[in-house]
Amino acid sequence: MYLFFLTAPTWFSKLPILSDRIDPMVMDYVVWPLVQIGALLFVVLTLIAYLTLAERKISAWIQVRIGPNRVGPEGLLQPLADGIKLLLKEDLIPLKADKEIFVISPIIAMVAALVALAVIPWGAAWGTISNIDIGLLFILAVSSFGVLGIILGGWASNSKYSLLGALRSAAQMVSYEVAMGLALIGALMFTKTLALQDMVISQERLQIWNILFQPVGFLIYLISGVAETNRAPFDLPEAESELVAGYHTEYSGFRFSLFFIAEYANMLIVSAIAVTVFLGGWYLPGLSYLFAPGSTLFVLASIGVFGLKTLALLYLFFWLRWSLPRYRYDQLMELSWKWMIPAALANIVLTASFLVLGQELGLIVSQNNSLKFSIGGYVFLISTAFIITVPLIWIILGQINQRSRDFNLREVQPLPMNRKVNKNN
Amino acid sequence: MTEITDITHPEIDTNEMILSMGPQHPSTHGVLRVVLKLDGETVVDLDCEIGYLHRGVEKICEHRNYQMIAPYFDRTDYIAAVSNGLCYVETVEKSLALEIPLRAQYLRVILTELNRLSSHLLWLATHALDIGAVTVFLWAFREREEILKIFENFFGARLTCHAFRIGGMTYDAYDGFQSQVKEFCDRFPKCLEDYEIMLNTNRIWLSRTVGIGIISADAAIDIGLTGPPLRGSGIEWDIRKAHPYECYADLEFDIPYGENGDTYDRYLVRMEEMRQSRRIILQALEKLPDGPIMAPKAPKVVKPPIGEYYHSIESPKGELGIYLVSDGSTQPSRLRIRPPSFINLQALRQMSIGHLVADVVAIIGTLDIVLGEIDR
Amino acid sequence: MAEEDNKPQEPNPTAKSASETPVKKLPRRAAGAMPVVEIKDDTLITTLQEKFGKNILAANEINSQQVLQIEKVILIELLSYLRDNSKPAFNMLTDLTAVHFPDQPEQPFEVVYQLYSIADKRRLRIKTRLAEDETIQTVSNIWSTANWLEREVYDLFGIRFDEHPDLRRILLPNGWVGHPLRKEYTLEYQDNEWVEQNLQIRTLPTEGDFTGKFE
Repeated sequence: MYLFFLTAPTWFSKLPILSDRIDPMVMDYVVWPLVQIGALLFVVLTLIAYLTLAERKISAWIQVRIGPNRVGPEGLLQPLADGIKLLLKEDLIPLKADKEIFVISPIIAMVAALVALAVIPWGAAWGTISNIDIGLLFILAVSSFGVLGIILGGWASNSKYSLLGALRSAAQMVSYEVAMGLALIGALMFTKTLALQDMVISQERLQIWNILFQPVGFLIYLISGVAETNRAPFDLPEAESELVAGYHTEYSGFRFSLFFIAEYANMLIVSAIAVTVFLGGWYLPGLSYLFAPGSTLFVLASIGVFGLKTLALLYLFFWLRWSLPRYRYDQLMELSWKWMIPAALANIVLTASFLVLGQELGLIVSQNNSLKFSIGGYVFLISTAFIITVPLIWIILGQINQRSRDFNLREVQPLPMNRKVNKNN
Repeated sequence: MTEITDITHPEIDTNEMILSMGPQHPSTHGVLRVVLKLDGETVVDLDCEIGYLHRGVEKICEHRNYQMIAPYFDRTDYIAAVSNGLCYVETVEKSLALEIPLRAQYLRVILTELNRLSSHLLWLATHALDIGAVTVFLWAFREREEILKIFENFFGARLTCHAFRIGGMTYDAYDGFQSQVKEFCDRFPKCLEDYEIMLNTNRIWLSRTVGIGIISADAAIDIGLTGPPLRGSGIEWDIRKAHPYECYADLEFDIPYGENGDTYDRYLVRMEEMRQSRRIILQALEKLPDGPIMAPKAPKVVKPPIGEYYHSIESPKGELGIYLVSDGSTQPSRLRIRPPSFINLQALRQMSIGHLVADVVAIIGTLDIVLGEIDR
Repeated sequence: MAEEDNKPQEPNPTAKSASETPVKKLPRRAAGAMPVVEIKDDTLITTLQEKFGKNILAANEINSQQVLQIEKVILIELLSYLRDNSKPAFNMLTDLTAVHFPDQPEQPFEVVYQLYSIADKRRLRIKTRLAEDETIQTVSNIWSTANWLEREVYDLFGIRFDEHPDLRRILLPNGWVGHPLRKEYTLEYQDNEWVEQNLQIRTLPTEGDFTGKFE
């Protein structure tokens, strides 16, 4: 069942500001979604602003520093100060740059990132803005659209090195999008729907998170997500600024902050999709016992659960950035095409085989376009996922990459010292 | 420019791009310009342009008294200032045939090894930063801060210390010197373990450093590499063991050396050298004798006899040598500094050819160059 | 990328410089000299003296460091022999430098080679004298480390090396005139033409009223 638009909650329709003169249909289809969108944009943009502060604070704590603590209590007004600073900077456009494209490309990048927020299931019932039937596909398409913003940004800077950097970024993002898409297909076989809210509902019905069925898929999706958003350890096109400048070198002031918002919004979307597809979305096993399903408190609690899970994954993003060195560009591309994509393809084949095998064995029943498992079915699927799929994929990757230099990195030996050997030097 | 005779695809007319890694770098190696000739992303040829920091130190030294020259040596290799000062005062003392009291020798060894630690920590920080591990940069600087505090308490300066005088030392150990150094040494192995956990078996670090910048032992000797780059190629040679100076002959320590001559081996060699330096410091602290810190016959007017002398020590970067030609006056006739980084940097060309552009940064980091010493 | 430096090595005679004492004079009371001992029973030195005869002008131990003074002609042969065939093989060229003795006008330059044997931990210094404008063979075919070291000697002294693959200035900028480490090059002298062209720093005449001139 696809709920394209969700009806407004009763307490909203009964608000005294909105008198009875408003048609219920307009209420459901116009006024309430606008309120939702406004609230979402406000919350998400503030969240993105505070994500920058969180990144600085977390990086500081990892590096035994304190981080920003001057502006406001514990630095909490730092994003406000940064925003004001960026707004007040001089509006520079390079002399020979293509003016219109220079102006438009950060806008394209940011819009593509923000549009994807509309279909994410932030919470149960009215916690979601819309639940279109091709939700996942929509998000993949829109994030591909964001790549266009990057290419145009590099082009419009009128610098050979900016353009090369932008093209490398774009190639990296496209490669890892393929891997992301393939990784998601494994989970789609369990949810049997592309609509994101329905994915969460299917996990709620089965009372399980998809990560237990698809550990490999989750891992591939997460790694590809980090690479997709150009975050460390995959940020060579941005960080190698001495040789090939990144696409946003010529941007300053507010335009730069638009690219920045786009990057953090992309991180947010990747985390949100990972939470939705693999980690159960807003579903927590005990939630329906605490609050009556469908009530306002339940919805608010579900939004809270989703938020916490997403923030946990975002913390993982920050953690990775400050712990790991950077991959070289060719190693990065090799990781996508020779490791992630074969693993995702193998995952699809193995998952499909085990699902069919389970149906043959009678452990899984497919009815009404959804799956039903017996206890044996759960056990079968989870155990095959961990015991058979994971090692088999590792073996397959080893076979493919036997001649890869990185695969054959030698083991670490302790360093020899003062060996009494005569050297003929 | 030297001729490039082999192009990767002679049948395809690919234009080679000339890229200049300009004098200003995000990485803190100093003002070095590397001109790369690239075929796609592979380095086909490389030329270094140095001299941005040339201050004419050797010329200046010909017009200064011997005591006045010592601070100039802090500014050549500004990271290992104490080491440089040691080389200079030892050269002058040996040409004067001056005996240094034992306490001064032990103090000099302790401070020089602390300087070696701080130089290697800076190397680790910048090398890891270039390859992308930003956190190691800040952790290593935290340790380096402790060492610089010790120097500040001892000499009054953190970086360019003017540590030693001809004949011994000016300042004796302050109250709490031994306990501060011992406390640092006790804390240090855990810090080294932290760095190794972050990097040693990290797959990405291994991918970026194993097999990068390989130089064989014979090529290393031919190009004149000394110090950790030479030891990384498998040659076990350290001036502290080969020609012991100060009191190194009485101290027990090992020389680590690598096998494959790549960046990873040089990294391991320097990490192990830090451990050995700590070992030296602890032994020297135990054996520190009482006594005077200045030679009783140290002359007030330093006039080395007519002749020449070459003396070298193992600085953190390699073999730092000084060739002194004296004409008997209070100013040297020729003071030549043999800079290890200058000669190590020559190897950059043959270590980088065939690698990708992103590796050149890693190779410059592994050679551990200081432009102050290269340009003098 | 880089042009050969073909200009004559004369400091600009019309430039004004602050310091006026180019050559240091020996003090009246010089200190003694370092102990110089002729090397008598060293197998290596004896072999070399037998092989090269008169061309090894002196073999001394100055302050316990072995120094050979040789004629320029046997340089390549001697150094190749020392690297490849001699009993302690000197496989490393530690340093290559030059010294200027203006008080010996027939042969003012001395090129110094410091050799080292890693296996035997032994040093050897080889020195040879050059006249003004005399060139010397490069040793960069024997040790690659000599490449930059000889460039530096050329840059700072003006001694040219025959058959050097890439002889151009290394520390000073490409268009610089003059060789600073020569004794007649004063400490505060600089190539005013280069500085004016590239850094836009004009040297001011020492007399004159400059009020109002730099608005």
